Amino acid sequence: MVPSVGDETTMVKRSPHRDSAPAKKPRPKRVVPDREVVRRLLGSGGDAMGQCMQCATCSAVCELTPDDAPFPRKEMLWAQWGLVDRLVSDVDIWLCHECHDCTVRCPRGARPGDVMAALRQACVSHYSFPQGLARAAAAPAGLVWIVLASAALLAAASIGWDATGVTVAELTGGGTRIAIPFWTRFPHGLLIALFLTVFAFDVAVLGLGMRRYWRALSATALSAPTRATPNAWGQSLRAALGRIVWHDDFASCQHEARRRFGHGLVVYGTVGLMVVDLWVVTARQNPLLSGLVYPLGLADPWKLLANLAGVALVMGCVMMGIERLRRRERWFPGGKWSGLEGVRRAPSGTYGDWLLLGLISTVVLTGFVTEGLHLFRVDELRYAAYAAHLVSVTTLFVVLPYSKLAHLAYRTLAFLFVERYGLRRRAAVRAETAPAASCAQPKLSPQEVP
Amino acid sequence: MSGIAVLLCEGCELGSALDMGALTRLASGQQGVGTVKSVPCLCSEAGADVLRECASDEPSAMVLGACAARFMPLTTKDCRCRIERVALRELAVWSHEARHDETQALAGDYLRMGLIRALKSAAPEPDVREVERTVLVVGGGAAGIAAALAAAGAGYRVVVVEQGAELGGWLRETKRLPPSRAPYRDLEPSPLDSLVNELVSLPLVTVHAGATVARITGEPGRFEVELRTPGGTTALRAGGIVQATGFTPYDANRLPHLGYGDSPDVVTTFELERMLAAGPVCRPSNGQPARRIAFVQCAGSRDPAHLPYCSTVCCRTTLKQALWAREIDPDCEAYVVAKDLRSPGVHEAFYRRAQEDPLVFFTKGEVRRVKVGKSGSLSVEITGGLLGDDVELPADLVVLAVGMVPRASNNDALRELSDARAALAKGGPGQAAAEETIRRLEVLADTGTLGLGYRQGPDLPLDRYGFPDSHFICFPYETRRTGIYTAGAVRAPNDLEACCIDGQGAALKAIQAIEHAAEGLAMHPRWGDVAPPTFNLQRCTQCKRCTEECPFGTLDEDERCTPKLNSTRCRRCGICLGACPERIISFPDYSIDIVSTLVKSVPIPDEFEESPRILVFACENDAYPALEMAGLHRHTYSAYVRVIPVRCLGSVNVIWIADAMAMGYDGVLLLGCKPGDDTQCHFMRGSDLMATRSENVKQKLTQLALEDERVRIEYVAITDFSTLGGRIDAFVERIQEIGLNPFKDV
Repeated sequence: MVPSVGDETTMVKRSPHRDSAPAKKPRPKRVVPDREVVRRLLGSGGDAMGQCMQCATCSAVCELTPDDAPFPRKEMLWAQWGLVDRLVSDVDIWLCHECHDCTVRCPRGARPGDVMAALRQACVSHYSFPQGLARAAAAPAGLVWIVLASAALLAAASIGWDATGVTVAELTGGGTRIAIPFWTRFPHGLLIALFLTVFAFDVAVLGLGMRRYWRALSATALSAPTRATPNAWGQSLRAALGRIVWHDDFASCQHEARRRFGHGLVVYGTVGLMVVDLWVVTARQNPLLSGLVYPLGLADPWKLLANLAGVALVMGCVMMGIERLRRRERWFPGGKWSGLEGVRRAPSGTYGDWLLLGLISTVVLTGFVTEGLHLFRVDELRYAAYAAHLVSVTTLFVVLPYSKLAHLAYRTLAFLFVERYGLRRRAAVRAETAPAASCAQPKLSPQEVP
Repeated sequence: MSGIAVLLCEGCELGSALDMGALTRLASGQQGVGTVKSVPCLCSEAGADVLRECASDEPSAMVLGACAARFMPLTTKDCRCRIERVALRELAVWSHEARHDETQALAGDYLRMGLIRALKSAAPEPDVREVERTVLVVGGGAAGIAAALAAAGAGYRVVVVEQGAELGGWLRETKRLPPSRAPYRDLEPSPLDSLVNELVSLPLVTVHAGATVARITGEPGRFEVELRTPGGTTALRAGGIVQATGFTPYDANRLPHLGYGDSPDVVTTFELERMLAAGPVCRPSNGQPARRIAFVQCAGSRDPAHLPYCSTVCCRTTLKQALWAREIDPDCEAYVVAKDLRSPGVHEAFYRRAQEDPLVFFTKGEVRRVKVGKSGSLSVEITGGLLGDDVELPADLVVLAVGMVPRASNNDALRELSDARAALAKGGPGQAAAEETIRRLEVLADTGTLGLGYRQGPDLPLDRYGFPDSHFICFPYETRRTGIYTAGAVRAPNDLEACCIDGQGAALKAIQAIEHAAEGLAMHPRWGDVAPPTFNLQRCTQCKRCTEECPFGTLDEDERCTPKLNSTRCRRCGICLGACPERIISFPDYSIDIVSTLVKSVPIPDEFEESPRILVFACENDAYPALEMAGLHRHTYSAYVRVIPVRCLGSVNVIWIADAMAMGYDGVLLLGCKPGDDTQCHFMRGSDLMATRSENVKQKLTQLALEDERVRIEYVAITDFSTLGGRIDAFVERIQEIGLNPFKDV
């Protein structure tokens, strides 16, 4: 993306001393709207963002908004003007959990929640490389190419592997050789090597992006830090991870509070599967696994954990998907709330949202299908299913640093940043200063909005 | 004739709360009273029969002691005599303790007052004369055309005076307009041609183009008009006048910080309008296409140093021009910088339409200045928005959305000028001051619009923003000159739609003025009041207070400064009556004598009874209805007060206050509408005049060794009825603290 705004040092001011007279008056910063950025945001969930009239309803309902930098109001304006440099150095967009309280209340149907999602996607794209892959991950056509490429990668790698002769059959202790020759070529060693490579690539892309994002954050937000000394790294990291572990931030959402549960299932399902994967990857070296015969029995604790985690993941995905599809009825019951049908569309998710849910579900479902077919030895299909599973896993890994899944890196980073530098959200300030009784905010349904 | 008939209603607790026998005896004992009857329920069928029967005896007047006429009409056209309603229900029974001596005394006093009014009021005689059924429309823009169409449509002759060569005004400069029809999204062509064609096709309409008004004399129904036309002068008669002189754009040269004059590339919306009509928008400096057009909203508007008000149309004009420019050149960008964008009502849809265009960029913010670079480059410096406290926006063309200044003449200055000239011509002292005034104001000499031959100046009085003022809250189009109504942008900043509605409204008001003048009836707010004031000129001292203080310029003067009535200009407010130190002005049913008698009719308990009496003069427009509403809602207040309704606080003559003090009342409370810049006075000046007069009264009281707190003014809106009782009680309490009037029983 083309940088369009000049010196960006003081936009997000958080200093109580902001009015102290500077020694020398700085030159006004030049603002040049970037129509290309605007066009991209319009196409990725921000189609109604032009309707924002800066009324600040969104900031008034948002629990995150800092006192002196209204969120998401300022981001709406920057998005309308395509001021990409401000947007990608903004910590607030990553603190947002997309609870859509703003979307429900927006009198113009501008759907700030979706715009924030589009901005996060733009932020991920901005900081990742190569840009071609980032663009491919952001559109359905690109996904087709990525899937095909993943399949080709797997096929090519397995053909090349044939010479080495190490197969699954050997690994399982000389059991039945697999009947269909082509599909025997997915030995674990190959897969481990492949996925480790892709994973290393992901880590590199995300790591570099995080590094650049952290620098941008430091440049903007820390020009006027709120505290003299930052919190210790350890303390900050603990606090940031605590927010993730307990999913506290979801609880402050009014209209999407149930997502805390669905998202939790997905997160902990993923953690469970990763633990099992780690075991499998390290099978040959792992003393705990020695003597075990592959495939593991259904009653095996690892198998049990894997299946449970898989079920949790699917359940979480389904819950989140259903919640997303039912937003319209939940938020605008009877369709009555809107006097402006068409413009005031309920968001049922952007492409990026569904891509993530779809990919995760595909990975887990193909995994279960493979497992089932394997159990019943349905030879004709089990390898096909396994292939599909492997392709979907590869695809997931390839798009990971460019998709919504990158939020696990960027959002964690944003948490770490605000914990380290003590940037306090309005909700936290209010909880500290307000008397206990008034803390309990009544939860209004959309009909109750005055 | 059988004397005054008195009917007392016993319904609505009146019968049980009051001693009706005592009231009947009281009424029977009064002068001129014929029959007195007590009826169980006056608003029932039986009550109506009693009323009809009573009316058939042709009494000189009827006094109905019942409820307020405001809430319950009782009489019909059968009752041709004068009818006095005494609101015993609201003012006595429902607002005071039942079966209490003080309540009984109160009811008795109100009944006595009603009888006095019935006895003393003379039958009013309307001043009926020939009228000219022609509406003069000054100004041939959108509002003027709409006024002319409406008046002609109602069958009245219309004369349109347009100073330009053609009809149309600003509409002629405007080729495309913001939407006026659902779905309020698309630009519309100007309707000017069809409007003009329709107008000129009407046989009742005469258009004088290139003409101005030289002089207007006379009064509603009978205006004598003299026009300056290209061919000389034309004289005509008109019954009512609509002033639709429109606006001028605010002078952008007064906004040097916005770069106007520094660069030819800084233009106003009015200049851009012409550029857009001519085709692709180019930079005037070098003829290059203007690819980045920055609109600066509120250029001088909503700014105490320039125009303190919002002109309502500039934002929509900007939206229109931005979309228009984008339509001509789809590659250009439009930036709109506004304090806040105002696209009121349904026109929000048009704002949304503009927002759908991703290359029309909006931001809130204050424009600190427009910077003109050495090479002629422009940038708009913005502060206070979310783009940052200190940012600049480069642009090829900067458009200043300047506001509307009403095209109305400064009546006060013009009058000062003509007075100074008269003083100079007359000779005598003050020559130097007159010359100085003439030097100062001479520049305005030819800026008159209507040339009224009125004592109070040649044009309409203006409000603090320069608009011809009116009691705008309740009655748009009203000015302080009866029979002359304003419409369009000269009345208030208006868009085309509002101008057309305005024109129709003002035309109908002008017609109403003509028809009321034909029957000798008053206009707003004492609709249909028959009798103009009479002057006992033998005792007139030519002090000019009535001619100066009349809010409507009703009175002219002859050469000896004797007041000269123009009866159809009069609104019957009685401010002249309140002003006159010689007390020579009266209405048949409202005079110094009548009210003085009312004041004196109340028996004042002596100093040993510890029962004070407070006199309340309540303005009939808001305060008196509020009191009746307080009663209707059963809000109670002190029974020591006696309320006399007055036409306006300004109609209260200080002699009444003096009478009250001499009679032994312990305090006088004046209830009226709010004065000041945003006065709520229905006659514009009444409350302000009373505030001044009451200061004099207080000085008098001090001279008489009376506490000046005994006279208090309270300003009451009609919505204050729930708190009014409390305010009355507070005054009564204060009076009791001060102690009784030492002049009691003197």
